[in-house]
Amino acid sequence: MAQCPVPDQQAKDRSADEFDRLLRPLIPLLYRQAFRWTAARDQAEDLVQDLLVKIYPRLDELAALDNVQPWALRVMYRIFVDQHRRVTNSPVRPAHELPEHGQGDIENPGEHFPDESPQPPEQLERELLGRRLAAAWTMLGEDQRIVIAMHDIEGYRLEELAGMLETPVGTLKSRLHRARARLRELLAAEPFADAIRVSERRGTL
Amino acid sequence: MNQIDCQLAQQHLDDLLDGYLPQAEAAATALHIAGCGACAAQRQAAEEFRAALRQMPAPEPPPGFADAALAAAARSHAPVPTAWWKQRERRRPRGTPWQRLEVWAGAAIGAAVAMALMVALWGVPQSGELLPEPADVRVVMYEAREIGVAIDAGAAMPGATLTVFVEGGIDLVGYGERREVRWQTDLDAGTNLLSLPIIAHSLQDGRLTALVEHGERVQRIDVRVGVDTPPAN
Repeated sequence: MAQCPVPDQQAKDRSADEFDRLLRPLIPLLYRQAFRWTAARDQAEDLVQDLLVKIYPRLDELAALDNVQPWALRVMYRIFVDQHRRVTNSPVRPAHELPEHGQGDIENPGEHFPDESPQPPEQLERELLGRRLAAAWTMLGEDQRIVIAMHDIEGYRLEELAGMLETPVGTLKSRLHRARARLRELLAAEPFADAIRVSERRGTL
Repeated sequence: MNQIDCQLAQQHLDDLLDGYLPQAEAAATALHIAGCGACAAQRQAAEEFRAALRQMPAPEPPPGFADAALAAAARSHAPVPTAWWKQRERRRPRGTPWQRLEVWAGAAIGAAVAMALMVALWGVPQSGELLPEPADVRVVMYEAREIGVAIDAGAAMPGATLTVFVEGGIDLVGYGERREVRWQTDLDAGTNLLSLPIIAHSLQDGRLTALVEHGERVQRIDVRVGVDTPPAN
Protein backbone atom coordinates (compact mmCIF):
# COMPACT_ATOMS: atom_id res chain seq x y z
CA MET A 1 0.00 0.00 0.00
CA ALA A 2 1.38 3.37 -0.93
CA GLN A 3 2.22 5.57 2.01
CA CYS A 4 0.66 9.02 2.17
CA PRO A 5 3.04 11.82 3.08
CA VAL A 6 2.30 13.24 6.49
CA PRO A 7 0.81 16.76 6.44
CA ASP A 8 3.97 18.38 7.84
CA GLN A 9 6.02 16.86 5.08
CA GLN A 10 3.58 18.05 2.42
CA ALA A 11 3.71 21.59 3.79
CA LYS A 12 7.49 21.46 3.84
CA ASP A 13 7.61 20.28 0.24
CA ARG A 14 5.22 23.05 -0.83
CA SER A 15 7.42 25.64 0.89
CA ALA A 16 10.53 24.32 -0.81
CA ASP A 17 8.79 24.35 -4.20
CA GLU A 18 7.51 27.87 -3.73
CA PHE A 19 10.89 29.10 -2.55
CA ASP A 20 12.49 27.45 -5.56
CA ARG A 21 9.97 29.08 -7.91
CA LEU A 22 10.62 32.55 -6.52
CA LEU A 23 14.38 32.44 -6.06
CA ARG A 24 15.82 30.14 -8.69
CA PRO A 25 15.37 32.64 -11.56
CA LEU A 26 17.24 35.26 -9.51
CA ILE A 27 20.25 33.17 -8.61
CA PRO A 28 22.35 34.05 -11.70
CA LEU A 29 21.78 37.76 -11.09
CA LEU A 30 22.42 37.47 -7.36
CA TYR A 31 25.59 35.52 -8.04
CA ARG A 32 26.85 38.07 -10.56
CA GLN A 33 26.18 40.86 -8.12
CA ALA A 34 27.84 38.98 -5.28
CA PHE A 35 30.83 38.30 -7.50
CA ARG A 36 31.14 41.96 -8.45
CA TRP A 37 30.87 43.03 -4.82
CA THR A 38 33.40 40.53 -3.55
CA ALA A 39 35.54 40.03 -6.69
CA ALA A 40 35.91 36.36 -5.72
CA ARG A 41 33.93 33.30 -6.77
CA ASP A 42 34.03 31.46 -3.45
CA GLN A 43 32.88 34.53 -1.54
CA ALA A 44 30.11 35.08 -4.06
CA GLU A 45 28.92 31.50 -3.55
CA ASP A 46 28.99 31.93 0.23
CA LEU A 47 27.11 35.19 0.02
CA VAL A 48 24.31 33.81 -2.14
CA GLN A 49 24.10 30.68 -0.01
CA ASP A 50 23.89 32.77 3.17
CA LEU A 51 21.16 34.86 1.57
CA LEU A 52 19.05 31.84 0.65
CA VAL A 53 19.41 30.35 4.11
CA LYS A 54 18.47 33.64 5.73
CA ILE A 55 15.37 34.33 3.66
CA TYR A 56 13.98 30.80 3.47
CA PRO A 57 11.91 31.24 6.65
CA ARG A 58 10.46 34.47 5.22
CA LEU A 59 8.67 32.75 2.38
CA ASP A 60 5.31 34.35 3.18
CA GLU A 61 6.87 37.80 3.03
CA LEU A 62 8.63 36.90 -0.23
CA ALA A 63 5.50 35.55 -1.85
CA ALA A 64 3.64 38.78 -1.15
CA LEU A 65 6.21 40.94 -2.94
CA ASP A 66 5.59 42.32 -6.41
CA ASN A 67 9.29 42.22 -7.15
CA VAL A 68 11.55 39.93 -5.17
CA GLN A 69 14.79 41.04 -6.79
CA PRO A 70 15.40 44.39 -5.04
CA TRP A 71 14.28 42.92 -1.75
CA ALA A 72 16.69 40.01 -2.10
CA LEU A 73 19.51 42.35 -3.10
CA ARG A 74 18.84 44.51 -0.06
CA VAL A 75 19.02 41.49 2.25
CA MET A 76 22.16 40.27 0.51
CA TYR A 77 23.72 43.68 0.96
CA ARG A 78 22.97 43.59 4.68
CA ILE A 79 24.55 40.15 4.97
CA PHE A 80 27.55 41.40 3.05
CA VAL A 81 27.91 44.39 5.34
CA ASP A 82 27.52 42.25 8.45
CA GLN A 83 29.63 39.29 7.55
CA HIS A 84 31.69 39.61 4.45
CA ARG A 85 33.15 43.02 4.02
CA ARG A 86 36.52 43.89 5.39
CA VAL A 87 36.71 46.00 8.48
CA THR A 88 38.59 48.69 6.65
CA ASN A 89 38.98 49.64 3.06
CA SER A 90 42.67 50.37 3.17
CA PRO A 91 44.13 51.36 -0.15
CA VAL A 92 47.09 49.16 0.70
CA ARG A 93 46.50 45.50 0.08
CA PRO A 94 48.80 42.52 0.47
CA ALA A 95 50.60 41.70 -2.72
CA HIS A 96 49.09 38.22 -2.94
CA GLU A 97 45.61 39.75 -3.10
CA LEU A 98 46.42 41.98 -6.01
CA PRO A 99 45.68 40.79 -9.51
CA GLU A 100 48.65 39.81 -11.55
CA HIS A 101 49.27 41.80 -14.63
CA GLY A 102 47.99 40.19 -17.76
CA GLN A 103 44.76 39.30 -16.01
CA GLY A 104 41.51 40.17 -17.73
CA ASP A 105 38.69 38.63 -15.72
CA ILE A 106 38.31 39.79 -12.16
CA GLU A 107 39.38 36.59 -10.53
CA ASN A 108 40.99 34.72 -13.41
CA PRO A 109 41.78 37.59 -15.67
CA GLY A 110 44.25 35.61 -17.75
CA GLU A 111 41.30 33.86 -19.33
CA HIS A 112 40.40 37.06 -21.13
CA PHE A 113 43.84 38.27 -22.10
CA PRO A 114 43.58 39.47 -25.66
CA ASP A 115 45.33 37.18 -28.08
CA GLU A 116 48.10 38.48 -30.23
CA SER A 117 46.53 37.69 -33.57
CA PRO A 118 45.70 40.68 -35.78
CA GLN A 119 42.48 42.38 -34.70
CA PRO A 120 40.73 45.58 -35.68
CA PRO A 121 42.25 48.41 -33.62
CA GLU A 122 38.92 49.28 -32.00
CA GLN A 123 38.39 45.72 -30.86
CA LEU A 124 41.90 45.50 -29.46
CA GLU A 125 41.40 48.82 -27.70
CA ARG A 126 38.16 47.58 -26.18
CA GLU A 127 39.74 44.36 -25.01
CA LEU A 128 42.66 46.20 -23.48
CA LEU A 129 40.30 48.57 -21.69
CA GLY A 130 38.25 45.63 -20.44
CA ARG A 131 41.32 43.89 -19.16
CA ARG A 132 42.62 46.97 -17.39
CA LEU A 133 39.18 47.63 -15.96
CA ALA A 134 38.95 44.14 -14.50
CA ALA A 135 42.34 44.53 -12.87
CA ALA A 136 41.44 47.96 -11.48
CA TRP A 137 38.07 46.68 -10.21
CA THR A 138 39.66 44.54 -7.52
CA MET A 139 41.49 47.59 -6.19
CA LEU A 140 38.33 49.56 -5.51
CA GLY A 141 36.86 49.65 -2.04
CA GLU A 142 33.85 47.42 -1.49
CA ASP A 143 31.45 50.37 -1.18
CA GLN A 144 32.79 51.65 -4.47
CA ARG A 145 32.38 48.30 -6.21
CA ILE A 146 28.84 47.98 -4.93
CA VAL A 147 27.63 51.38 -6.05
CA ILE A 148 29.17 51.06 -9.52
CA ALA A 149 27.95 47.49 -9.94
CA MET A 150 24.42 48.38 -8.95
CA HIS A 151 24.17 51.74 -10.70
CA ASP A 152 26.39 51.64 -13.77
CA ILE A 153 26.23 47.94 -14.56
CA GLU A 154 22.82 46.75 -13.37
CA GLY A 155 21.16 50.09 -14.06
CA TYR A 156 19.46 50.84 -10.74
CA ARG A 157 18.65 54.51 -10.18
CA LEU A 158 20.06 56.26 -7.14
CA GLU A 159 16.56 56.56 -5.66
CA GLU A 160 16.12 52.79 -5.87
CA LEU A 161 19.55 52.16 -4.40
CA ALA A 162 18.81 54.50 -1.51
CA GLY A 163 16.10 52.10 -0.38
CA MET A 164 18.06 48.95 -1.10
CA LEU A 165 21.28 50.06 0.54
CA GLU A 166 19.57 52.18 3.20
CA THR A 167 21.81 55.11 2.32
CA PRO A 168 20.73 58.65 1.41
CA VAL A 169 20.71 59.56 -2.29
CA GLY A 170 23.23 62.36 -1.73
CA THR A 171 25.67 60.01 -0.05
CA LEU A 172 25.29 57.48 -2.83
CA LYS A 173 25.79 60.12 -5.49
CA SER A 174 29.01 61.31 -3.88
CA ARG A 175 30.15 57.73 -3.48
CA LEU A 176 29.38 57.01 -7.13
CA HIS A 177 31.35 60.03 -8.32
CA ARG A 178 34.30 59.13 -6.11
CA ALA A 179 34.18 55.51 -7.21
CA ARG A 180 34.23 56.45 -10.89
CA ALA A 181 37.03 58.92 -10.29
CA ARG A 182 39.03 56.28 -8.44
CA LEU A 183 38.45 53.76 -11.20
CA ARG A 184 39.58 56.26 -13.81
CA GLU A 185 42.69 57.00 -11.76
CA LEU A 186 43.48 53.31 -11.55
CA LEU A 187 42.94 52.92 -15.27
CA ALA A 188 45.20 55.84 -15.95
CA ALA A 189 47.88 54.35 -13.73
CA GLU A 190 47.70 50.85 -15.17
CA PRO A 191 49.89 51.33 -18.26
CA PHE A 192 52.84 51.84 -15.92
CA ALA A 193 52.30 48.33 -14.62
CA ASP A 194 51.97 47.11 -18.18
CA ALA A 195 55.33 48.57 -19.07
CA ILE A 196 56.98 46.61 -16.27
CA ARG A 197 55.23 43.50 -17.45
CA VAL A 198 56.39 43.98 -21.00
CA SER A 199 59.96 44.41 -19.80
CA GLU A 200 59.72 41.19 -17.82
CA ARG A 201 58.47 39.35 -20.85
CA ARG A 202 61.35 40.60 -22.87
CA GLY A 203 63.78 39.43 -20.25
CA THR A 204 65.19 42.85 -19.47
CA LEU A 205 64.41 42.69 -15.76
CA MET B 1 19.03 79.13 -22.31
CA ASN B 2 22.14 79.90 -20.24
CA GLN B 3 25.45 79.29 -21.91
CA ILE B 4 27.94 77.18 -20.01
CA ASP B 5 31.69 76.81 -20.28
CA CYS B 6 33.87 73.71 -20.61
CA GLN B 7 34.50 73.42 -16.87
CA LEU B 8 30.81 73.38 -16.03
CA ALA B 9 30.01 71.08 -18.96
CA GLN B 10 32.54 68.55 -17.74
CA GLN B 11 31.24 68.82 -14.18
CA HIS B 12 27.76 68.06 -15.50
CA LEU B 13 28.85 65.27 -17.80
CA ASP B 14 28.23 62.32 -15.47
CA ASP B 15 24.85 63.68 -14.38
CA LEU B 16 23.94 64.26 -18.00
CA LEU B 17 24.75 60.68 -18.97
CA ASP B 18 23.03 59.37 -15.83
CA GLY B 19 19.91 61.36 -16.63
CA TYR B 20 20.00 63.25 -13.33
CA LEU B 21 20.46 66.73 -14.77
CA PRO B 22 17.39 69.03 -14.80
CA GLN B 23 16.03 69.52 -18.31
CA ALA B 24 17.28 73.08 -18.84
CA GLU B 25 20.80 72.30 -17.65
CA ALA B 26 20.86 69.09 -19.66
CA ALA B 27 19.94 70.98 -22.81
CA ALA B 28 22.56 73.67 -22.18
CA THR B 29 25.25 71.08 -21.46
CA ALA B 30 24.38 69.06 -24.55
CA LEU B 31 24.47 72.20 -26.65
CA HIS B 32 27.91 73.12 -25.38
CA ILE B 33 29.27 69.63 -25.96
CA ALA B 34 27.91 69.55 -29.48
CA GLY B 35 29.95 72.63 -30.33
CA CYS B 36 33.12 71.82 -28.38
CA GLY B 37 35.62 69.24 -29.58
CA ALA B 38 37.33 68.83 -26.20
CA CYS B 39 34.07 68.29 -24.33
CA ALA B 40 32.77 65.98 -27.05
CA ALA B 41 35.91 63.88 -26.61
CA GLN B 42 35.29 63.80 -22.86
CA ARG B 43 31.75 62.66 -23.45
CA GLN B 44 32.88 59.91 -25.80
CA ALA B 45 35.47 58.72 -23.29
CA ALA B 46 32.83 58.68 -20.54
CA GLU B 47 30.45 56.68 -22.71
CA GLU B 48 33.19 54.18 -23.59
CA PHE B 49 34.04 53.86 -19.91
CA ARG B 50 30.43 53.02 -19.09
CA ALA B 51 30.15 50.59 -21.97
CA ALA B 52 33.31 48.82 -20.81
CA LEU B 53 31.86 48.53 -17.30
CA ARG B 54 28.67 47.00 -18.63
CA GLN B 55 30.67 44.53 -20.69
CA MET B 56 32.98 43.55 -17.84
CA PRO B 57 32.66 39.78 -17.56
CA ALA B 58 31.08 38.20 -14.52
CA PRO B 59 30.86 34.43 -14.26
CA GLU B 60 27.69 32.42 -14.13
CA PRO B 61 27.13 30.32 -11.02
CA PRO B 62 28.99 27.02 -11.22
CA PRO B 63 27.00 24.03 -12.52
CA GLY B 64 24.73 22.62 -9.86
CA PHE B 65 25.10 25.63 -7.60
CA ALA B 66 21.46 26.72 -7.76
CA ASP B 67 20.16 23.22 -7.01
CA ALA B 68 22.57 22.70 -4.18
CA ALA B 69 22.11 26.17 -2.68
CA LEU B 70 18.30 25.96 -2.76
CA ALA B 71 18.37 22.48 -1.26
CA ALA B 72 20.76 23.60 1.46
CA ALA B 73 18.50 26.54 2.31
CA ALA B 74 15.50 24.22 2.64
CA ARG B 75 17.50 21.74 4.67
CA SER B 76 18.89 24.39 6.97
CA HIS B 77 15.37 25.14 8.20
CA ALA B 78 14.09 21.59 8.27
CA PRO B 79 13.32 20.30 11.74
CA VAL B 80 16.44 18.73 13.19
CA PRO B 81 15.88 15.01 12.70
CA THR B 82 17.44 14.18 16.01
CA ALA B 83 15.30 16.53 18.02
CA TRP B 84 13.17 13.77 19.42
CA TRP B 85 16.00 12.08 21.24
CA LYS B 86 16.92 15.25 23.03
CA GLN B 87 13.67 14.93 24.93
CA ARG B 88 14.90 11.60 26.21
CA GLU B 89 18.40 12.82 26.91
CA ARG B 90 17.68 15.72 29.19
CA ARG B 91 20.87 15.29 31.14
CA ARG B 92 22.99 16.48 28.27
CA PRO B 93 23.71 20.16 27.88
CA ARG B 94 21.75 21.81 25.09
CA GLY B 95 23.63 22.30 21.89
CA THR B 96 26.06 19.48 22.45
CA PRO B 97 26.10 17.16 19.46
CA TRP B 98 26.14 14.00 21.52
CA GLN B 99 23.69 11.16 21.42
CA ARG B 100 23.57 7.76 22.90
CA LEU B 101 24.66 5.31 20.23
CA GLU B 102 21.85 2.85 20.82
CA VAL B 103 19.27 5.60 20.43
CA TRP B 104 20.91 7.01 17.35
CA ALA B 105 21.63 3.69 15.67
CA GLY B 106 18.14 2.43 16.30
CA ALA B 107 16.51 5.38 14.59
CA ALA B 108 15.51 5.19 10.96
CA ILE B 109 17.35 8.41 10.23
CA GLY B 110 20.63 6.90 11.28
CA ALA B 111 21.58 5.18 8.08
CA ALA B 112 20.27 8.01 5.95
CA VAL B 113 22.26 10.83 7.43
CA ALA B 114 25.46 9.23 8.60
CA MET B 115 28.44 9.61 6.36
CA ALA B 116 30.76 7.55 8.47
CA LEU B 117 30.90 5.97 11.84
CA MET B 118 34.21 5.69 13.58
CA VAL B 119 34.66 4.15 16.95
CA ALA B 120 37.33 5.57 19.15
CA LEU B 121 38.11 3.46 22.16
CA TRP B 122 38.55 5.65 25.15
CA GLY B 123 41.62 4.84 27.11
CA VAL B 124 43.81 3.77 24.21
CA PRO B 125 47.37 4.82 25.11
CA GLN B 126 47.95 8.25 23.62
CA SER B 127 51.32 7.70 22.04
CA GLY B 128 51.81 9.00 18.53
CA GLU B 129 52.25 5.53 17.04
CA LEU B 130 48.96 4.31 18.38
CA LEU B 131 46.83 7.20 17.30
CA PRO B 132 44.23 5.93 14.87
CA GLU B 133 44.77 6.66 11.21
CA PRO B 134 42.56 9.45 9.92
CA ALA B 135 39.35 8.20 8.43
CA ASP B 136 38.44 9.21 4.89
CA VAL B 137 35.00 10.35 3.84
CA ARG B 138 33.74 12.11 0.75
CA VAL B 139 31.03 14.74 0.52
CA VAL B 140 29.40 16.58 -2.36
CA MET B 141 29.93 20.32 -2.40
CA TYR B 142 27.00 22.27 -0.87
CA GLU B 143 25.32 19.13 0.48
CA ALA B 144 25.25 19.10 4.24
CA ARG B 145 26.08 15.65 5.56
CA GLU B 146 26.49 14.24 8.98
CA ILE B 147 29.57 12.49 10.28
CA GLY B 148 29.11 10.17 13.19
CA VAL B 149 31.89 9.42 15.62
CA ALA B 150 31.33 6.91 18.38
CA ILE B 151 33.32 7.19 21.57
CA ASP B 152 33.41 4.23 23.93
CA ALA B 153 33.91 5.28 27.50
CA GLY B 154 34.73 2.73 30.17
CA ALA B 155 33.12 4.85 32.87
CA ALA B 156 30.95 7.93 33.05
CA MET B 157 32.96 11.09 32.47
CA PRO B 158 31.11 14.17 33.59
CA GLY B 159 32.26 17.54 32.30
CA ALA B 160 34.36 16.30 29.40
CA THR B 161 35.45 18.89 26.90
CA LEU B 162 34.77 18.35 23.24
CA THR B 163 36.58 20.54 20.73
CA VAL B 164 36.03 20.26 17.01
CA PHE B 165 38.34 21.88 14.49
CA VAL B 166 37.64 22.14 10.79
CA GLU B 167 40.17 23.00 8.10
CA GLY B 168 40.03 23.41 4.36
CA GLY B 169 36.84 23.78 2.34
CA ILE B 170 34.40 22.50 4.96
CA ASP B 171 32.33 24.18 7.68
CA LEU B 172 30.33 22.88 10.60
CA VAL B 173 26.69 23.45 9.74
CA GLY B 174 25.19 26.09 11.99
CA TYR B 175 28.48 27.62 13.07
CA GLY B 176 29.16 29.92 10.13
CA GLU B 177 32.84 30.42 9.49
CA ARG B 178 34.00 29.32 12.93
CA ARG B 179 36.88 26.91 12.58
CA GLU B 180 36.84 25.78 16.19
CA VAL B 181 33.82 24.95 18.33
CA ARG B 182 33.97 23.78 21.95
CA TRP B 183 31.41 22.21 24.25
CA GLN B 184 31.35 20.92 27.81
CA THR B 185 29.45 17.66 27.98
CA ASP B 186 28.89 14.55 30.02
CA LEU B 187 30.03 11.23 28.61
CA ASP B 188 28.07 8.22 29.70
CA ALA B 189 29.64 4.87 30.37
CA GLY B 190 29.38 2.92 27.15
CA THR B 191 29.20 4.24 23.64
CA ASN B 192 28.51 7.91 23.04
CA LEU B 193 27.91 9.17 19.55
CA LEU B 194 29.18 12.47 18.31
CA SER B 195 27.08 13.70 15.42
CA LEU B 196 28.73 16.41 13.35
CA PRO B 197 26.94 17.90 10.33
CA ILE B 198 29.38 19.39 7.85
CA ILE B 199 29.06 21.17 4.53
CA ALA B 200 31.66 21.88 1.87
CA HIS B 201 31.69 25.31 0.25
CA SER B 202 34.55 24.67 -2.13
CA LEU B 203 36.29 21.77 -3.80
CA GLN B 204 39.23 22.09 -1.45
CA ASP B 205 39.60 18.96 0.67
CA GLY B 206 38.89 19.42 4.34
CA ARG B 207 39.89 17.92 7.62
CA LEU B 208 37.83 17.56 10.75
CA THR B 209 39.47 16.92 14.08
CA ALA B 210 37.53 16.12 17.23
CA LEU B 211 39.34 16.32 20.53
CA VAL B 212 37.73 14.87 23.63
CA GLU B 213 39.40 15.78 26.91
CA HIS B 214 38.62 14.62 30.42
CA GLY B 215 41.09 15.41 33.14
CA GLU B 216 44.48 14.52 31.77
CA ARG B 217 43.12 12.13 29.20
CA VAL B 218 42.74 13.11 25.60
CA GLN B 219 41.19 11.28 22.68
CA ARG B 220 41.67 12.62 19.18
CA ILE B 221 39.79 11.62 16.06
CA ASP B 222 40.81 12.85 12.59
CA VAL B 223 38.67 12.70 9.50
CA ARG B 224 39.91 13.63 6.04
CA VAL B 225 37.07 14.99 3.94
CA GLY B 226 37.29 14.83 0.15
CA VAL B 227 34.92 17.06 -1.77
CA ASP B 228 33.21 16.10 -5.02
CA THR B 229 31.62 18.38 -7.59
CA PRO B 230 27.82 18.42 -7.46
CA PRO B 231 26.29 16.46 -10.32
CA ALA B 232 25.19 18.61 -13.24
CA ASN B 233 21.52 18.58 -14.11
